[in-house]
Amino acid sequence: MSIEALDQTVWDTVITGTGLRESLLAAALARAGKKVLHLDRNPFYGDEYAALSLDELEAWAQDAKIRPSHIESVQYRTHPVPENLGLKKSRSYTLSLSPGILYAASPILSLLVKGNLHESLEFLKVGGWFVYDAVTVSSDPLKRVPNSREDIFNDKTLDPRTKRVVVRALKSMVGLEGGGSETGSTLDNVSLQQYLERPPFRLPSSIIAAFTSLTLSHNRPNEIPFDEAERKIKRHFDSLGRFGAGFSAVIGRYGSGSELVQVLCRAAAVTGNAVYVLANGIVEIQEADPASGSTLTTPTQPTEQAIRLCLNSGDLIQTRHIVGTSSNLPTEASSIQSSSGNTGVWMSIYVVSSSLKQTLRTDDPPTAAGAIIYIPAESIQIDNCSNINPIYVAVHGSDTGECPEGQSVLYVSMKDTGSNEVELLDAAVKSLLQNLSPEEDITNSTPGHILLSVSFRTLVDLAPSTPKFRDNVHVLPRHAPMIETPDFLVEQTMEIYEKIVGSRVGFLEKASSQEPETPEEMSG
Amino acid sequence: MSTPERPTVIKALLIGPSSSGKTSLLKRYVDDVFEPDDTTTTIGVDFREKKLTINKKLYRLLLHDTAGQERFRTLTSSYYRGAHGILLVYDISNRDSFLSMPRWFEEAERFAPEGVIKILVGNKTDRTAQRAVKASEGEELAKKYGAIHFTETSAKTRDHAKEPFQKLVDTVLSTPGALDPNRVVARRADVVDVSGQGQVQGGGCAC
Repeated sequence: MSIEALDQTVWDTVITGTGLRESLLAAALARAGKKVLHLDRNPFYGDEYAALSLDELEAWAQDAKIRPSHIESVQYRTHPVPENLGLKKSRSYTLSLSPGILYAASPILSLLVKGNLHESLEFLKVGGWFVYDAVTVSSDPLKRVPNSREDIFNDKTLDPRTKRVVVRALKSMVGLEGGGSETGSTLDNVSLQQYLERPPFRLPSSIIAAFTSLTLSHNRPNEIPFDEAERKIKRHFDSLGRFGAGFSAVIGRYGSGSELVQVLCRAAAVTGNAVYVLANGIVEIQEADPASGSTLTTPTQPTEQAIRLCLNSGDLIQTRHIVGTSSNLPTEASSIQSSSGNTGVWMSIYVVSSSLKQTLRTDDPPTAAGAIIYIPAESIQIDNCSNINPIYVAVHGSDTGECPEGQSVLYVSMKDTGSNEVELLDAAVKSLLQNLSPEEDITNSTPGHILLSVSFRTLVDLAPSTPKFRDNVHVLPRHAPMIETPDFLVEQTMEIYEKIVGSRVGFLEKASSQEPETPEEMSG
Repeated sequence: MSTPERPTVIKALLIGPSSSGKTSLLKRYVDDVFEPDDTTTTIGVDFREKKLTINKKLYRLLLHDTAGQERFRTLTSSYYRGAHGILLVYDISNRDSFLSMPRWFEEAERFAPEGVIKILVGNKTDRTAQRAVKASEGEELAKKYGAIHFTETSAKTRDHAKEPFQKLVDTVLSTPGALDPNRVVARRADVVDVSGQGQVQGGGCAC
C-alpha cells in the first residue's frame, strides 16, 4: 500500500496506538482543528483496547508471545466438548481486551454525551454485583450485593441486628441520608476489613466480602486501605440509579472499550482533520538524541518545532507533537518512562457454553447484559493450594454481541501471586459453571463447559502516574484495561491536550459553525 | 393518548475506493430532494438523514459516509454495525478503482451483518471519453459477489443518481426479516440512555 502524501503536511500531532486515551485525544484534537496523523502498528483498531474474532485473537496471542510488551505468558486454549456445544465460526465472536465497565458517573460518559458521540454507541446494563460462595454450597451460591436499605432489609439471610449495622456501615461510608463519614486521623492505616470488623460494626466476613466486591480491587479486604475502599464504594453508590433503577454501571456493546475507541476514531476522521493508517508505526524519531538526553528538537531547526519521524513503511513525516505509550514509541523516546509501581494481574477470557442467565436477571428493566461476580480469597481449591487473592468474573451475555446466543464470555482476573494462577482461574470458572444454572430458572441444571480460554499476565500501573513530557514527545503511562475503565484516563488525556492546544476549554466539543480548513481565501 | 409513531430506521453505508464520488452521490440524493436539517453542517457530519414516507409509513434513512477512512482502508468495523444496506461505489473512468472492488466486497462480508443488502454502483458516467470499465464488467462483478443490483450513475448530471438509493430502500422493505430489530440493531429497550435526558426510571411510575 502506498502512503501517498503523508509527507506533504507538517502534522500538529502524530499519535501512535489507538487505545482509549490516544483515540480520545485524536477526536478532541481533530475537533479543535488540529491536523492529526493517527497510527496503529496492528492491522486493527484498539491496541490494548481491541476486540477480536477467534482467528484474530489466536493471531494476537501468537504475536504477543514474541513481541516484548506488558502482556506476558499468553496461552490460547480450546477445550474439547461434547458435539454441538462447541465454538461457532470465528466471526461470531468479538472478544475484548478491554471489557471494563463504565460507572454512570464516569467523566468518559459525560464527555461522550457532551461531544454528541453517545448515540453511536450502545450501552448495556451491568445488572449487579454478586459474591460467589463456593465453599458452603447452598441452593443459590450467588449472593447479590445489596444496593439499598430496602435490599438489606429484604435480605432473609440476615438477622435484624446485622441489618441495622450494615445500614449504619453503609451510611458512614457513603453518607447515605446525611450520615457523615468518620473523619481522617483515626482511620489512617486502617484496612477495609479492620474498619468493618472492629466495633461498632463487627460485621461477618460475608458482609465484608460484599463491600469489598464494590471496590473492584484485586487485593484482599485486609490489604485495601480504608480511604481507598471508601472512595470506590462511594463511587458505586454515586452512580447507582443515574441511568435507571438498581444499577450503577454500563458496558458498551461489542467489546465495550473497543467500540468506544472506534467511535472516537471515526469522530476524528469525520472532521476531515485526522488521517488513519493501520499496520504502521514510528520506528525512529530522528531529532532524538539519546546520548545527550536533553532535547529532541534543535533550536536551529528552520521548521519551527517540527520533529522528523520515520515510519515502518519508510515514510518520513514531520510533526509538532508525538503521543503514544512507551510500547508504541521507539526506545530512545520511551526509555524515560518510569517503571515503578507495577503489579501483575492475570487475566483470562473464557467462552463458555452457558448463557449464565441467572447472573443477568434483574428486578427492573432493561435486561442486564453483564454482571460482576466476586470470588473471595481462599475459596477456590486445587490440589493443595487455593486462591490467595480474590477473583473477579465479569460476565458478558450474548446480548453484548460478543458471542452467539446460548453462550457467554467471562473476563476473569486475579492478582499475580507467583504460581498456579491459570489453574485457579480455570477452577473458578468450572466451579461457576457447575453451580450456576444456564437459565433464569435455577432448577434447570445442565452445566456449561469451557469452550475457549485465553489467559495472560499483564503489568498494570497501580497508581495513576502523570505522563512524562520530554519536549513535544508525550509518553502515556502504561495502562492495562481491566474490569473498570478508570477516570484518570481522561485526566491523562486532557493534560496532553492542554500542552498541545493551550487550554482544556471545549475538549471534544464539536465546532458547531466552524468550517475546518477552508482552502485559503486570501485576497491580494 | 396516542404517541406519535416512531419512524423505522434504515441504516445504509457507502463504501469503495477514494475519489469514486461517494460523497457527491450522497449529496445529490439527499440535498436534491430533502432540505437538510439546519443544525447539521455539511462538514463534520457523521451521517446524513432522509425522511421517507412509503405506504403511509415513516422511515428515517441514515446514510453514513466513509469520512476519508477508506483512503488507507482503515474503516472501523463499528462503521458496519447494524447496516441494512451498503452501496459499493467505484469510478467507471478509473480501472484501478474497479479492480479494488473485490476487496471492498470482502470487507463488507467480514464486518457487516449477515444478509446485508449490497448494491454495486459505477459512478461518473458523465466521463464518457475516459470510461475504463464496461458496464457488463460491473454487472458481472455484482453477480459474483451477490450484489442484488448494479447501476451506473453520474452524481454530476443526475444520471440514475437516485436509483441505487431507492433500490436499496425498496429491497430492504420488501425483504422479509431485513428490518427485524433482532437481526442487527439493538433491541432499543435494552439500551441504556446515558445522556441523562431520558427520565430516570424509578421503581414506581408516576402516571
